[in-house]
Amino acid sequence: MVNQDKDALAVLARADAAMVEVLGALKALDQSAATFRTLKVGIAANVTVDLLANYLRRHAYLAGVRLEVAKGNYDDLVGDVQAHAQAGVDLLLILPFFDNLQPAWETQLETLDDATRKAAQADYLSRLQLALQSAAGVGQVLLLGAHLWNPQVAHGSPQQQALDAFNTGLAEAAAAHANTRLLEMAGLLARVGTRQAFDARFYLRAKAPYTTPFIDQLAREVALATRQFGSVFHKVLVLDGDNTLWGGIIGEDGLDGVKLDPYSFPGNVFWTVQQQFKALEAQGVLLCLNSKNNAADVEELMREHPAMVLRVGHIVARRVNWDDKPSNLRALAAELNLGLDSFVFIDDSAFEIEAVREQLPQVTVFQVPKVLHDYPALVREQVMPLFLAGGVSAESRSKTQQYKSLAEAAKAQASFGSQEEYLRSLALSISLQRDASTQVARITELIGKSNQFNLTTTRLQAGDVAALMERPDATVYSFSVSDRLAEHGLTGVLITVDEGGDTVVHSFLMSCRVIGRGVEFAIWRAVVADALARGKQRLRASYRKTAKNALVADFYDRLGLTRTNEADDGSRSYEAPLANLQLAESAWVELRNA
Amino acid sequence: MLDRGLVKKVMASVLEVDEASLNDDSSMDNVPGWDSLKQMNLVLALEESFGVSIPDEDAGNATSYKLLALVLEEQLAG
Repeated sequence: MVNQDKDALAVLARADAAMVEVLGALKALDQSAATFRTLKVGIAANVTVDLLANYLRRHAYLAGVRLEVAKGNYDDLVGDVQAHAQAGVDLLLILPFFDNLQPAWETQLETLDDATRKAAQADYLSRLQLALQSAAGVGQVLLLGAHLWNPQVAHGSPQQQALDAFNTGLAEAAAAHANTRLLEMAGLLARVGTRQAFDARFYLRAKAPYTTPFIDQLAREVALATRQFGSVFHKVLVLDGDNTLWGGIIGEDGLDGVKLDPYSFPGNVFWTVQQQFKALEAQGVLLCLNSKNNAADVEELMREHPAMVLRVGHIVARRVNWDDKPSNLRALAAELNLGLDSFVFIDDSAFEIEAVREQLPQVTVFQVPKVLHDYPALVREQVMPLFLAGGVSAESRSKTQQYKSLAEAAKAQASFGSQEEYLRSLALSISLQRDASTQVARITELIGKSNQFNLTTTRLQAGDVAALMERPDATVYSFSVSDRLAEHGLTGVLITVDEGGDTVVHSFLMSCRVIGRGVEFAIWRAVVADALARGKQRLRASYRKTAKNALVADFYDRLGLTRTNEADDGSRSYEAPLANLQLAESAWVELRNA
Repeated sequence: MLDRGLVKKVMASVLEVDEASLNDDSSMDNVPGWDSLKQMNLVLALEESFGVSIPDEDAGNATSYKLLALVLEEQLAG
């Protein structure tokens, strides 16, 4: 990347960059020869949010993504959405501005009878239904929650009641579509403050209600809600101990000396952030410790300290030793079998933060604020959104339990005579589903975040997956794995598409939680049988090399396919005749619905 | 003193035209793409760059370089 690009990105990264600077930097980056991932976004709003396009582009560039934004018309919900869907946008933003549902809607509500009010709001919601139906093929739809233009109304006022009813309608519409999510605006508005967020001049003149700073924050919120436009997926929160989880130094101050309690400063700050971390853990975030201490001291603190919120059971893996923090982070990544780019690290020491930033730039780092009372806000506003943005599904919540079983299984492994003996003892069972339309959301999530065990790394959106399920010549296999230790949930996806007499593997990917148990081989029994039943003669597959999938570079060799070509970039093509095909087996895995 | 160079720079960047193409007679009538939407963005950008707030009635009506410079000068003096 040339210096000019770096300068432009530095401008975009500066929170106080003026609009003219932002526009200049965007122009420079638009003309840059550097490669960015590109993404298409469509906006459908019933007010003017012209500047949103530029500020979305700002936050996208900061995540390494070049956005093409289609702004849509003014208050043409169905028309906009249809046009955007047709143009193949990856992300659709729908922004219903409450006061403009009808002219000066909030003021009208003061004197309106119930039936008229309901009819007007129902009109928007039914248009929304229509729009969302035509957006079924769009990867992700963000529906922005409605808010009041004049929030100074009493609880129970007609405005508040009508708003609540409308937002309930939005939430129901979002819940009915796998690709749609409601993005709450209330918190963002409260943070910016309505006085700073609204501009009455242009609302009345041009139906543009928002100020530039608010538009910028809104764009940032969209970036967070889309995990930086699909470029990150954080899973692990690694915490330092001293002055990060408790005040003081356990090795020096001792169990009674560290600052940690619910009632007095500064112990209450640490107690509060521990509650926040615990809430993240309950949502499926994996918590780890990375602390320079004697392991026994920390163990004692976690077990014995009365005000400790995070106990041993909340922590999935620990590195409490005198090694440097980057080494410990690498070790944690290896133990959990997860990429470092899914790691977030919090430490109080500028030195440690800098060391990690330099050696492991892919890890997202936060330093505990010097002004300690800012610490809970940092966690709430910057750390938590990194994890919760995607809307954590119920299955994710039990992830910590699954990873713990994985760790326990690793320990049990030692006592068995052979690896196969151990695997047999696990009683592994795969439950296979074909074209499971009710699972589209989970399948898409897995396709989006699997990096290491992913043969082609073809990212699909919910609409693509649903479309493949509909095709008679394509099959979307999804499988969940269970054993006597844990229910691993949906863990893998395999997609085949027929081409003439061939069955071609379009995608094959698995969650890293179950690698090394033979699941990856057992699944092919069904694929081969299905292809033969459809009268196919040949199986074709390919490995497309990425920065992260070296793990499976020789997977098809190990499976038993014949390599036909290897490209300069390390990608490989394979094939094999289906009749009497002998593939690697894992007889200890039971395959249900084969 | 009003930084007239900065006014033109902001105008060029918001109106998406070459700065060299702007002169003292540039207005909504002769700059392509300068519509009411761009006018709004222009006012917002100028307010930010000059640290002033342009009054409601001027925001919509100051649709030329000269008028904008005048309004900004008034606000800076005021």
